[in-house]
Amino acid sequence: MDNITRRKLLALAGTALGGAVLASCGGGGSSGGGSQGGGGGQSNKKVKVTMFVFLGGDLGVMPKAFAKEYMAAHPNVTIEIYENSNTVGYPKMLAAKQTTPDQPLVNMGFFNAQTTAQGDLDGMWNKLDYGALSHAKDVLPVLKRKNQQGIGLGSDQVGIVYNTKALTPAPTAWADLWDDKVKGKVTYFDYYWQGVLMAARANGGSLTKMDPGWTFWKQHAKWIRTIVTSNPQYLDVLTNGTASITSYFNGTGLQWKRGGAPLDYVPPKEGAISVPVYLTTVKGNTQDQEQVCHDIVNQMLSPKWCQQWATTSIQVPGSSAVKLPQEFGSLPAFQKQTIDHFIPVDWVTVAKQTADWKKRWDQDVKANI
Amino acid sequence: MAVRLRGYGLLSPALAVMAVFFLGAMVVLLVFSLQPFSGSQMLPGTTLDNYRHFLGDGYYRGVLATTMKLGGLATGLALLIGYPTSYALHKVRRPAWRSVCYFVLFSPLLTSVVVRSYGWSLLLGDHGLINATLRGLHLTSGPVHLLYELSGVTVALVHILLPFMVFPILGVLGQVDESLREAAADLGASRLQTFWRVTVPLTVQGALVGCQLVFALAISAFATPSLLGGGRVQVLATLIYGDVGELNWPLAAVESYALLVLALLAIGLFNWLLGRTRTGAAATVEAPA
Repeated sequence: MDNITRRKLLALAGTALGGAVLASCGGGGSSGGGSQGGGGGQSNKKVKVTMFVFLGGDLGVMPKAFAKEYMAAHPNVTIEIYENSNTVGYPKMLAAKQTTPDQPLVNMGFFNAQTTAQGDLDGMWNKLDYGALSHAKDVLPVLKRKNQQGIGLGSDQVGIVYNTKALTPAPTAWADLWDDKVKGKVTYFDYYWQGVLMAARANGGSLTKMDPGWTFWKQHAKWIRTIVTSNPQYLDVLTNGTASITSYFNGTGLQWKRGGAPLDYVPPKEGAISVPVYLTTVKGNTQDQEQVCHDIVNQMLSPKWCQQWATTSIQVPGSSAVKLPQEFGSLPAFQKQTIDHFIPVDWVTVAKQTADWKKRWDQDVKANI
Repeated sequence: MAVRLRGYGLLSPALAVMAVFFLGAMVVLLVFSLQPFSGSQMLPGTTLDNYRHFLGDGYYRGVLATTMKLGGLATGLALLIGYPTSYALHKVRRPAWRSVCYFVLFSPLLTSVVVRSYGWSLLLGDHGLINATLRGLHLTSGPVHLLYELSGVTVALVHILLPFMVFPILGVLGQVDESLREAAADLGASRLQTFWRVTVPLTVQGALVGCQLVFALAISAFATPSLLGGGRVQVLATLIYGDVGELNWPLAAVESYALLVLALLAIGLFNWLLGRTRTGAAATVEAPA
């Protein structure tokens, strides 16, 4: 179970923000190149690997750059990119697992904490040999998984993203999502249980007692203007004035802002939700594919690529050998105050409740908007 | 006998395709629909629980009602727009103009449904062309919500499906004997009376075939409700897609059968009406003689 406790989060924050210390640890000269785990570079056998990459913003920048460089260094390896949201793409992976278990839809990829926990329950992941991953030693302890099914590359957080032109003053709390002034102006990703959790907490509920949240959003469904199913669609409705506020990832929100969108991210005063991003490999891989995937995971954890991931995705880097990009220092999401107040989420509970919660999302929320 | 055999021979490729890809799929879906489902897996055994769940839950009845409402609205609007359009097209004599009109009318079928739907989203959005025009004319102060509403989905579906209404009506209009209209005029009927008493009864079958096509296509439309409905417009097709995505194939199979039954009922109703109008049209034509 990958519960992120306050203590662990403090450790994560401290490590990420300790610029000078981290800088001294940072292997800036390390290119991350060269297979150390006996990966694709040591064999001439043709291997094709499909990598799951988050869709939207700059989330595909690092994986695509990595794939290009890796294939140039390992001509026998072909990396295909499968770009999708975890929400939409994971069920397709599961369908492939059930129909053609020896031909997984993707061989490895980037998965958020929720999908990674879901994959644990579905038997989706292979166990990584942390001992054979030379860069794993630098990964923050909080991002190492007890079952070794995946390893953290970075950590994002969920709070409030809003249109700066449409909403003044800026929202400050989760309750701003159901304030009267945003009635009919809220948008959510399809099946956004985080919004329900925060409404549940505001009404005496919790992650294990979500009924108050479902009841609340059933009554406040008219606050929602539309439901989206992809990041580009999200960006569109938030920037064209259709909707003005949502709850979403800090990294994605700030990538949109960096791209010129009139959007910003606010960590709510009640606390944001920390969401680690893991690299995992998928069951059903051939031995050669698994070997290449291990090597890719290891190289992605190297300072060069981990740094690039953190910079492009605007996340806390998962490796202690990487310092937090300087430009992040002033961002609210990376302040100690924000990290101290993260709301703990038991991702296993979330994964176990997915089927029931999706049903309630459809019937209580979507059916009433 | 030989003629009949030859007929079956000519039909056999189509029958083979139907048998494999339609009936085969329906059999598989029937089996799926009877399988228990738990977590994200189908379990061994047979159960009617999926049907009970679908029929007993108000949520699914609501989706069914929205699907029928969307089909009815799209069909009604397509008929209202399609009939005069067909009549006008029928009256265009210059081949060049007729070609231009055909191109405009059938252009929705030449582009991808996704492109068309995104085009509509640009027009229907809160800050889209329609709302900008309304505000520019001081007809509204705030945006009129068209996108992510049933109204927007209906308008887009009518645009896309209009050719399926126009084409059958146009075909029937071309078969109407001009001498019947001339006879009506000779007997003192006004143009409106001629249209109402002669043209409409003789073309109602084309309109019914158009309605049949548009209704069947509207209730099974997926891309347009999905892209323009924004989660607010839930119809059977989007529900099926969602359940397939959730790997709940048994429930998706039940919903597929519900969609099929709905389409068959509509086709049956329109066929019954067609049968009645055939008799009526024949009587209308025979009456003056």
